[in-house]
Amino acid sequence: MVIAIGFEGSANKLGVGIIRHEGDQVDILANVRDTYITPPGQGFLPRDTAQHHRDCILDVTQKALKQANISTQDIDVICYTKGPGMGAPLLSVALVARTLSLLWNKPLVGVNHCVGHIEMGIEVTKAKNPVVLYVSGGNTQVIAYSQQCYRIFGETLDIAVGNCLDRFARILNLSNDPSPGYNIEQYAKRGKKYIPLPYTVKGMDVSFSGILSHIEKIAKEELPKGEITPEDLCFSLQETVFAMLVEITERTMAHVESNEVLLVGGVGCNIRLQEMMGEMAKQRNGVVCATDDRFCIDNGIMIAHAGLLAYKTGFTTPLEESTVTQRFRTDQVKIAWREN
Amino acid sequence: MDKTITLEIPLPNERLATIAARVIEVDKELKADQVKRTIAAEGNILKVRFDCYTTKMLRVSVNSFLEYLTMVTRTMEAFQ
Repeated sequence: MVIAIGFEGSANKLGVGIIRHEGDQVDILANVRDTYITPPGQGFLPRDTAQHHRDCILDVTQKALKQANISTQDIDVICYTKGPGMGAPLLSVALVARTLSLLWNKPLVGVNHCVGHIEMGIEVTKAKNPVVLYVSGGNTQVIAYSQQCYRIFGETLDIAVGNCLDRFARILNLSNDPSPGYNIEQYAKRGKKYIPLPYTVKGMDVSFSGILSHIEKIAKEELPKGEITPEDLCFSLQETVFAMLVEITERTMAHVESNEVLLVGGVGCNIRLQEMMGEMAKQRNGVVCATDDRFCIDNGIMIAHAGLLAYKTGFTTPLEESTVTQRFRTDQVKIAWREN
Repeated sequence: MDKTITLEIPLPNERLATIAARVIEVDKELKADQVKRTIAAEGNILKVRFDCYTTKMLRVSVNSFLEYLTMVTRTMEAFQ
């Protein structure tokens, strides 16, 4: 039996999770999260986000320990997000992880944020060998596992799809509570008119910056005329960017001959995306695996889980190397806990 | 680097001072060519020296360090 505590704070969500591995059994003992929410029309900035994380991380940690009903002695390993993400928030969280590592005299494991999402998604959905679509505010990648590496088959060439959605929410001044992406999703359900937008798939890769500029222009010029509504624009944006994601995912499925899709990352919560992906997978006699917002959205438990998988293969991060990095490619991690 | 400051911060004991020094030492200064930072634990005293070219850089570095130190000491207080 091994217990890990995981710390995640690479963007505006601060999460602490506690997980136990007992043989093949995986038990989630605690999963507590606090989200930094900015006023409508504003994004979250690194400095303010880091301050939010510093303000709440100790309370969230105490809550997690209480929820798990364990003492600090029971914890075997401390895991934290090494990257990728925003510099100052990542660092604020790493400081706490390092301090606890020395206070409690426990080993430290630095975890790749993307690998955390993938491993938690696989654990929750029990997907066997899926093509992974990792979509969030900071990342958009199509990934397949091969030879101890999560290989990136396709990705965004500029901004993440979640970034595109979040910034469009700012243009419309939608609330950021519980998240701008969720609010766009609710508006889209009431949309009736499809407005054509640029469809920018580039082989296995995608590009979203042109779509954002185009729809921003439409919002500023056409909305005042009253012929279209914000709901129509949200509907159209979702249909366009999600169709693009479905296309590159299908292309990867064909290439690696997989019939499973695993959706991870915050945008993976979106029911419309799950529906569209499901229709594609069904046509290919495949299935879509997705998790709910407890695990789709950034959380500490995914870091604890991926960290514990690495730890059980003998991996630890020496204190001197327990830095953070804003860029940490998914394919840089050796997946030593999987064979072949 | 003619702008310099030395901070001496007492912690409750030598162990905590050593932990604080080790934790903060991991991250290098972002602008290492403009700021030189030296951290040492001497007994229970955390001794930090900053050497900078400009007063502004000195202020930014010291503020940043104090933010980190506050996070470390609050963690110690909560989980000691």
